[in-house]
Amino acid sequence: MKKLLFTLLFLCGTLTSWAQVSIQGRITQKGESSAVADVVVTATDKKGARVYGYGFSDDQGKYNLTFKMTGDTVYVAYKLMGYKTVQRTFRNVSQTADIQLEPDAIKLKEVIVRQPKIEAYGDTISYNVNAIKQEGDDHIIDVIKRLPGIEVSAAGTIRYMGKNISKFYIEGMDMLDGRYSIATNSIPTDMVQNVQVLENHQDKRVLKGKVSTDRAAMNIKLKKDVKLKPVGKATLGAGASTDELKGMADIVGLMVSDKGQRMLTLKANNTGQLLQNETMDLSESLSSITAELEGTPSSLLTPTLGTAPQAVEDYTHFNTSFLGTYNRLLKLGDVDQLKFNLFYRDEKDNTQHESNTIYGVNEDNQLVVSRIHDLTQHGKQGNAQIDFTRNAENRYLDEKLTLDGFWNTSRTDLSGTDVFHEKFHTPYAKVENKVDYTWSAGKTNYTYKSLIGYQRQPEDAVFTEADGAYLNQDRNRERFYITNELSQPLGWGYHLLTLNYGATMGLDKQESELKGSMNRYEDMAGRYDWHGNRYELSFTPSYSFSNMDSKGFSFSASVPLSGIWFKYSGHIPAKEKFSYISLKPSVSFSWRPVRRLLLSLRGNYSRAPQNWERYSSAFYLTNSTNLQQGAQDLNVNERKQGTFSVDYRNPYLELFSRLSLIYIHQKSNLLSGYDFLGTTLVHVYFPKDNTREQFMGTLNVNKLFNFWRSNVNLTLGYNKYGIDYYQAGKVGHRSVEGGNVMLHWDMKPLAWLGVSLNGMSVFSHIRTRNTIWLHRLQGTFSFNLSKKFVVMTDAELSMNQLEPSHYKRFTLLNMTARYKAGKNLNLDLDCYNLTNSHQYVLRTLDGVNQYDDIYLLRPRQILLKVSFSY
Amino acid sequence: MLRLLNIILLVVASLPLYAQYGTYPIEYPNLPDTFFLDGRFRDTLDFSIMRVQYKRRAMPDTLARDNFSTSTYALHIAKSGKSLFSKIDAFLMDSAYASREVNGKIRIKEQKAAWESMPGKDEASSEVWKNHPDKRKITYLNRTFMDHWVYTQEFPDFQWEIVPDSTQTILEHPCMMAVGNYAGRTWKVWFTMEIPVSDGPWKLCGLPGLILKAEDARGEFFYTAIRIQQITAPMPTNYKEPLKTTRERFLKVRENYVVNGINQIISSGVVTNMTRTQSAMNMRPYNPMEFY
Repeated sequence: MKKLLFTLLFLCGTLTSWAQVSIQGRITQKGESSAVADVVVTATDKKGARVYGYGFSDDQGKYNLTFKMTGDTVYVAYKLMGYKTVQRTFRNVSQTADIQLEPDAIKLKEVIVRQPKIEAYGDTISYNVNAIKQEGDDHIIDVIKRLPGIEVSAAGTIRYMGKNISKFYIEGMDMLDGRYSIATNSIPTDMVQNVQVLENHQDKRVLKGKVSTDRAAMNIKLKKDVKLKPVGKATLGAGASTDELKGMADIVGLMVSDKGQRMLTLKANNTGQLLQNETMDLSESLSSITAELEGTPSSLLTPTLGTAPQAVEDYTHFNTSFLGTYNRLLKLGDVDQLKFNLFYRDEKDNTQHESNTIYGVNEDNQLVVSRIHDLTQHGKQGNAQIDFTRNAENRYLDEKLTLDGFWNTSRTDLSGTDVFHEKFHTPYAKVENKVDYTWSAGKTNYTYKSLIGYQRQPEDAVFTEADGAYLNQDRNRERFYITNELSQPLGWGYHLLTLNYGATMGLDKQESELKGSMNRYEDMAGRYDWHGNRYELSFTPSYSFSNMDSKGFSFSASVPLSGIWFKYSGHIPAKEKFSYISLKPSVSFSWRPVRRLLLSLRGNYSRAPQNWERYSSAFYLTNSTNLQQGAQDLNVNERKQGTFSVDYRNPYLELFSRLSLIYIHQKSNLLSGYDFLGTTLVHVYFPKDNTREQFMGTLNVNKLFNFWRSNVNLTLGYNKYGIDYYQAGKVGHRSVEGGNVMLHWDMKPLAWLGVSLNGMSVFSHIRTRNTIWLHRLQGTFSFNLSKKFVVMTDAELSMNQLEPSHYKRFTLLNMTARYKAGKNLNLDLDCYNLTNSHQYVLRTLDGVNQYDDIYLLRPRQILLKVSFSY
Repeated sequence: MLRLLNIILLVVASLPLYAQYGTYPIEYPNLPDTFFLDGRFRDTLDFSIMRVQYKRRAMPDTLARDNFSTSTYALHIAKSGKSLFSKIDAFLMDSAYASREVNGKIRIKEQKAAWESMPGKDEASSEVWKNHPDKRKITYLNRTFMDHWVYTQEFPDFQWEIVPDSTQTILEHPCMMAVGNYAGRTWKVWFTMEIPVSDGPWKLCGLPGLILKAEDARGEFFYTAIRIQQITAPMPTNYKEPLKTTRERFLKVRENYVVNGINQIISSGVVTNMTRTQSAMNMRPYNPMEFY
């Protein structure tokens, strides 16, 4: 009975504590009886983090604060501008409390007015360039690399949250198409106000609101004072290395208005900065290799490739480079625009290095090869493109004609364990026309895409050994190709069914003659001519469901089905005609529980049942140690891939993170490995069933902190795979693990000191053997000695655990002294390669570890530069 | 010992410099201290004790979701509790608009630009007075082309729900998040109890602190405080003898004006020869902040 009574009393007590509590009273001014109106009365917990209730005093000063809470004590604050805040602690019961407020001077917190580093509004994320840039970030690409959520590959491809950007705009206009590196490497940072990422960007107006996309675009917002008038920057430099005079020029002119844009760039140098990446086409169609691993951060593509940070690789070239581009965009009314893009590049590059390469690290059967490389390459490339676009509400048309010519000669002289000379002459010419047409017809929209092109590649390769034995291959390839695609989306509600029909024809012709006096290639000499026709019909039904806006989920499934027919004549060892059906289904599911979090799961499967790869017995010499038989591409017979990713982006907290887990299982028909031809080690592709299983995981966290104005980017990567390998005539299976930890930290600990640290630790582990570590820490320090005078220097600390080259070393790399003579005028004194250093690279190539200890010859040079903005 | 002394001296010398970290060029325009820039007389209804500048981003077309218009507004707060929320350069608009006229007519190539900045199309020419003319009353003023309108309404009941443990620091003030509904939109706002003023941008108010940031759940309208100033300045109104209406009627009038406004402009005779851009203008999207 007592127990029951106790329980009832307890329940009553609990009910009381849950009941609504009212605190009321009158607020007057201290020393007077006059009422104080509009006083903010809040009931909170002790820390003020939880508000139980709030109210305001009326004209008579009366207030009535009602709230519910479970605790015993409530903290009530009485606040009004111009009065001292009064705080009272009350028990959690209804009561009356009259309060007197004492007048006080109004004091607002001294607010530092500043633009947020990152702002988000709708699907747009805007990065404030001023807040993120570091001293020495002369071109906008230097800042883009530092932006949270964004990564830039070595080739210049920009990715946002792991996906390639779909468009690159300057002030909302796409002047450069896939060759946006021209802009990112030329536009001075000082001209840019914001870099914006446009999420879920649909560039075709006719599809806006109808067909959603998960791709992002990038937009460069210029400062107001550089718009509507011609602006530019010119940097000219002259200096010397130990044995020759050095010079450079970097000139950019830009005109941006509502009616169009134009940009002219001229670059030339012999200071070791190559320009070939600046004209690379980074549009989707040419990046199929990375598209296959879409969702994979670039650092994972070669997770055990211990490459050196960028500055170490710079200035190792003895070059003469010239690049000129002219780009023009004309707006013809509201919806039409016309683009012209021209560029010409002439680049001669020589690199000299010594290397000690250990093949098969940690295996009993090791081979050490020492080489002295002297590589020379001379390429001339001319490209012209004209592009008309109509982007109207009811139709979209993009018509693009491209002419591309490339004349390339490369020469390699090799001495050491191997003595070899090789010379390639590999020109090509290409003409290509692309059409992308989308039109609205009733409730649906049709998209037609067409690609038609012709290319010709006459090639000549000559190899000469020390004893005079030589090998020569003349090859002439011609290819004509045409592809047509029609797609029709049928939507109702959240559902979208897309039917895609495609037809492709490729006509190939190759004439090849291999001749020479090298014994080991004796059996392979002869003519290899063939003609091949390839026809493909495809049908791809895709279904998607999406209710995703700020929250929700989406599901999509696609079943691409292709029938492929081949017909060959010439040097064909197998049958001349064959066909197969390819099926590549894929499903994906994405869930956005809150706006900032996205979970994605994707599965891909592909199967090509016919082993059609070895249709040609021709041999291709791709360099002195690479001999390839059959077609160039690895033929994957079966491939399964599963991807799970978690994206969390919170622009308010300035935090962008991404976890990516990928599993791949594939069966193919070519083994890659090493073999000996005589005493020479040769990398070969060996026709044999090959199973590869791979698991990759990457976690990337990038956050800006107010502490020291820090920008911290941490990446952890792990990679494990089992692989069939071929080495020295034997086929085996091997399990390899590798991983890396990369930390990039920009900070400004003192007003006069800026630091940018790049730390990287790479490990590789082979089953039953030791783990090999390579550590490298590189720092860039900028000292603002006065408002006008800045000194910047790079240094590197590196450590290698691998015997026999175990080392710890500190290296001073480059140094720049900058004098800001005026708002638009800078004077730089650059000293490059203060100390020469070795470069160590650990590579795992198809299961065979390869360790390179490379000494790169780097010219010590000094350069005086003048930069002028106008 | 000498080296140690040098290091200590260097560290001590660098301490004052350390205090300067974190500042970088201010890009926002400074608000002029007076509004009488064009020399015109206006009624001053009160004097402010503080002023908060907000950056407003608005999506005019819901089909172009990455296209935002950006402008800067100011909230002037008087000691009496009265407040005024209006665009910073609203008073400059008339003169800018007039400068496009040639012989009393607007040139053809300026038509579209003129339409883009036409008063009344959105909130650009609005004034939101809170606690005016009485406590807990909002007086809203705006215009549709040549007509000036005014209506009065009670403070909206947003039914705010304060989200526990949701903190964000804005302009160095710790803020809490609250979610409320008004006129068909859900508003997510961050307010600071460090500034005990129950006010905010536009019509947003009713929380135990000043709202420094607001966004609607559809991601179409955003207000972010970019500057807080303690300043005494007149709070003038730009409207003289506006037509009295109700909120509901004004919403209908404005929708009609935005969607069919071109006809009103043509009939006014101020603009002629509209054929080139007429069709485009007639398709102007309408994305109101209040649906009903």
